[in-house]
Amino acid sequence: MSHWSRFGYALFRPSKAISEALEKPDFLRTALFIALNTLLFSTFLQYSLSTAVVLHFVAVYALLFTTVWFMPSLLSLLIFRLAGKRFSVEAYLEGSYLAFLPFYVSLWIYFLPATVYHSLKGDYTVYAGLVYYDEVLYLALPLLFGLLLSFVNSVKVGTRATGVRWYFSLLVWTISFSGLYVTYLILSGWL
Amino acid sequence: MVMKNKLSQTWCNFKPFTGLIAFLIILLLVMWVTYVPCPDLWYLAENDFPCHQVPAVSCPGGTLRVSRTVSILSIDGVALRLEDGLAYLPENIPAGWHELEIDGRSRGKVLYVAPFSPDNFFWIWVSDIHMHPYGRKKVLEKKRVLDLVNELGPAFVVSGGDQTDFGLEDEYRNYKEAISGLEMPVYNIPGNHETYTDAHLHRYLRELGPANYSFTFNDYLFVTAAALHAYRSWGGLDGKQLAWLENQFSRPAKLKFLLVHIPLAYYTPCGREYAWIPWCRKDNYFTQILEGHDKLMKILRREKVVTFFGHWHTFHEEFTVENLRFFHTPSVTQNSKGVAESLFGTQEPFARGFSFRIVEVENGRLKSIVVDQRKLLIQRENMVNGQRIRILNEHDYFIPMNLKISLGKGEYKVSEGIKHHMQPDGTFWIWLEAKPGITEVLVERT
Repeated sequence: MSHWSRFGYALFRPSKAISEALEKPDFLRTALFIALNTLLFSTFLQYSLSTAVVLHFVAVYALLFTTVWFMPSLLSLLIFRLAGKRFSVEAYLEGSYLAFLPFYVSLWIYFLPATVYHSLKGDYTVYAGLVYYDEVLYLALPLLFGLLLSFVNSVKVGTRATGVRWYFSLLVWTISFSGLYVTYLILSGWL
Repeated sequence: MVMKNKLSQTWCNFKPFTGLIAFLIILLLVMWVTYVPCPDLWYLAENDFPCHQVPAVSCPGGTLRVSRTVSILSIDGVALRLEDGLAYLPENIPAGWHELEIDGRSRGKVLYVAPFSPDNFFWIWVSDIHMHPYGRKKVLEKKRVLDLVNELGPAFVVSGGDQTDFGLEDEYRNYKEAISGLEMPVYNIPGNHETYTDAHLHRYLRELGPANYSFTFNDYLFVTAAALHAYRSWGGLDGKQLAWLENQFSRPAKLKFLLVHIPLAYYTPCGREYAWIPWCRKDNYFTQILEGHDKLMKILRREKVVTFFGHWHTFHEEFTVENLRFFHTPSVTQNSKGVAESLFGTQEPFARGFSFRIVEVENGRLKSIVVDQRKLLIQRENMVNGQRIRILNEHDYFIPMNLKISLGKGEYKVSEGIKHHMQPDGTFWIWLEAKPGITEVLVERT
């Protein structure tokens, strides 16, 4: 399997992608994917919301979306280390990013069709749809599903990378999701 | 050799993470470089008041405050008595817009004479209109709210920020169209959506005028403050702005009002979505204006200022913090129910928007209510010898209104309310408090 194909597997066969990442990690390449994917989505999101792109907001959104994966991963990594588990940090981070890929894809599920639909129809912007016209439900449903899938995958990464029982990994990742507070602070405090 | 091997080993361990670290550093650098901490917001010079963007408002027999340097002030070519910057309007001046001439130079029609008395009037605060760049139906939806505001006939309207979604030119064009039906002055203040970048702020100043200014309605003082930080929802006031505010509020007035977009002081359950942000917390309340907050509160306490703000869209509460009154007003724009409310039901009575606030002043006393456009219907039906006005008020409280009647010259009697301010062309106004339910007003020629 080539390095790039593991991103495709992360969506349809996450176990295989995670195993691959844990066995042959290459986080430098993955970081390139993270940067490109995040910047592309942040730019698209800016245009999608307002039909304008402001560089400052692209950077803020990119930071916001990166923290969704990064903060819980970092927190869980620290907890496992404090619990005395020895494992490859590189493999762990790469595995956890692949675990979070369903969440990132779930964002596209709403924003891409909504942008095309509202642009063609010319009724209002995606921002207006989300904030004023109840379309937030169409975003929330795939987002919740994506986040749930990502959580399950993350627990799997914890189990496989550290060799702990699944319920211990579940506990660690449940605690680690509190790292999303940083995302909340960026979202509420900056945007 | 050992040292070199150790370094090489460390680099090998570190190398996989360089990409992510570089990415995060670049993001922070871009955010830092493109951030403007507190934009230099435009102040309206005292000598430039009144102007088309910030007109003057008064009433028959009322006063008009201008710069102390003004020596001659005329309305429609007639000079007024002027003492220390205070001009006195005649009792018989017709209501409506008048041309103002200051020291021999015309400013155009920048004085609105409202059909009220100096100590008994009401004004309307509309906020968070959030005009879209396109979508005809949606523009008309918002215009309907503003047309109702016009029908109620306040002395003036304050548009309290977030007139647009993203400060785009098309949004300003649609906003201006929506407010075009308002016969009275509209005082604009910017919101966070108009000040995302310096370019956005400059467009706001170009389209809607200055951000910091003050005006009076007789003995009542209104001061606007663009308490905004670019790029984010948080507000802030720099030293220059605080000094300016202190100077404005030092003027004598029966009641003083501060008009801002960002919430200055509140407590939960309102604004609960910000309650988890540590830098919002004060001892016994919350704030979203951070820089300069304490000094501003000190000024407001000293001058007993009443504050109006918007920004949150869904709340209608009045707060009393440190013996000061703060009013939040729900938005004109429609709001989504949101996921939680869709699942658990709508909790806030004005959460869906289409709302505005009426502020009634009666001999220095303040009374304020919120109106939902969908719960107030005013229908006019012309008859052979007059007009029938049917008011459907679905709120459970009275709503003040000042209905304009223009049926041509003649003598009229009205079945409800008080007829006042008769004009030479036969126009007059009916002041009434519409009770909950149906009120019918018959205007008949006698």
